[in-house]
Amino acid sequence: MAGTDRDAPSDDDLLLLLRDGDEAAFTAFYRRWQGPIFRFALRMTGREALAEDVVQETFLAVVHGMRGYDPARGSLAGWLFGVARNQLLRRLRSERPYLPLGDGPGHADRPAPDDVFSQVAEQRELERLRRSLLSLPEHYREVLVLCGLQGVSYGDAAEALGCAIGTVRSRLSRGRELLAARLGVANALPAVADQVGAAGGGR
Amino acid sequence: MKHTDLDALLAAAQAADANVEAPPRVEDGLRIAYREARRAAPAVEPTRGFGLRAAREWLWAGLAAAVVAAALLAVSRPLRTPGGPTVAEADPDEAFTPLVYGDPWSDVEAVQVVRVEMPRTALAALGYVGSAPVPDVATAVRADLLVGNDGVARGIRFVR
Repeated sequence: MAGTDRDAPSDDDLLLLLRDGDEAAFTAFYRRWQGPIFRFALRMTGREALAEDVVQETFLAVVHGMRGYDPARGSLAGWLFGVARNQLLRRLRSERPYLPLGDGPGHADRPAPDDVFSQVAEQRELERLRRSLLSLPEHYREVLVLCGLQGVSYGDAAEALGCAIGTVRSRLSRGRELLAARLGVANALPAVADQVGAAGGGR
Repeated sequence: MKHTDLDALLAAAQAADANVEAPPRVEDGLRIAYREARRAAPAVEPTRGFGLRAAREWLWAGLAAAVVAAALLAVSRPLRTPGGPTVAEADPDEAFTPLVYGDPWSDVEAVQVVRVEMPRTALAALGYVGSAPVPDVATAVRADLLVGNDGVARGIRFVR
């Protein structure tokens, strides 16, 4: 996740500086967080253009003072993903129905492989996973993308989604079952909630 | 490579996505927006208090007091006197500029327009990020505020 380099300024430091008009701080803050926000939006929708818009809107909220963010009441990650999610839902609901086919293979590309066949097979598997994710109901998809793909803690995910941590756990468990069944793979961790929670999700 | 369990597949997808980022044009546009916002709204909020509820509450309390005082003045003193100088007018066709992010009316049941006079530097504290119609920081601006029933200013329109 973002914001973990030991020598880098903390998110709080960057926020203070960017609040004072330090453009370098804003740039550093943006570069730290744009990737997770973009990936969240991209894997939720399968569309790069829409993910770009969501990143833009999320950071415009930072530019305009981060209304609603209070570190005493919630985490920065929870706030950022929450803003991104609100933007996503607003756009998705105004555009339905849509076909989650993606904008192209660009972001699925990886460096030229030594073992072309193995690489192609893995790409197909990943594409299948992404398409299966897109076919899941929204409330399962968002916890799987946040916690399963982005490594967001249960606590931050609960903040972003505006629900209880227990709800995140149960949705993740059910979402995993659905996803594993659609992909025909084993859901090897029936007690996944405990394991992920032990990695910091229970904050 | 065939992944036989979900966790391995999710881990592979996470690794494949590790370098997926928004294109540089998004950063370019946001930096421009940041510069514009900073130029239009010099930092006046207490930097140490960023994110501190107390500072924000003081700001809103000050604003609420100013709004109440202005409303009392408006009620107790007529704005026009026969034969006297006319007060400045707001353009009735000019739209109010929103002062809050998102939908300013989502949680408001009623609003009222309150005319105020305040230092230019107080505009930023209200959440206004545009250019004020007076060039001098020390000059007061006159404006109509759209105030919700919760006491929060939702929109502003300058009085020429």
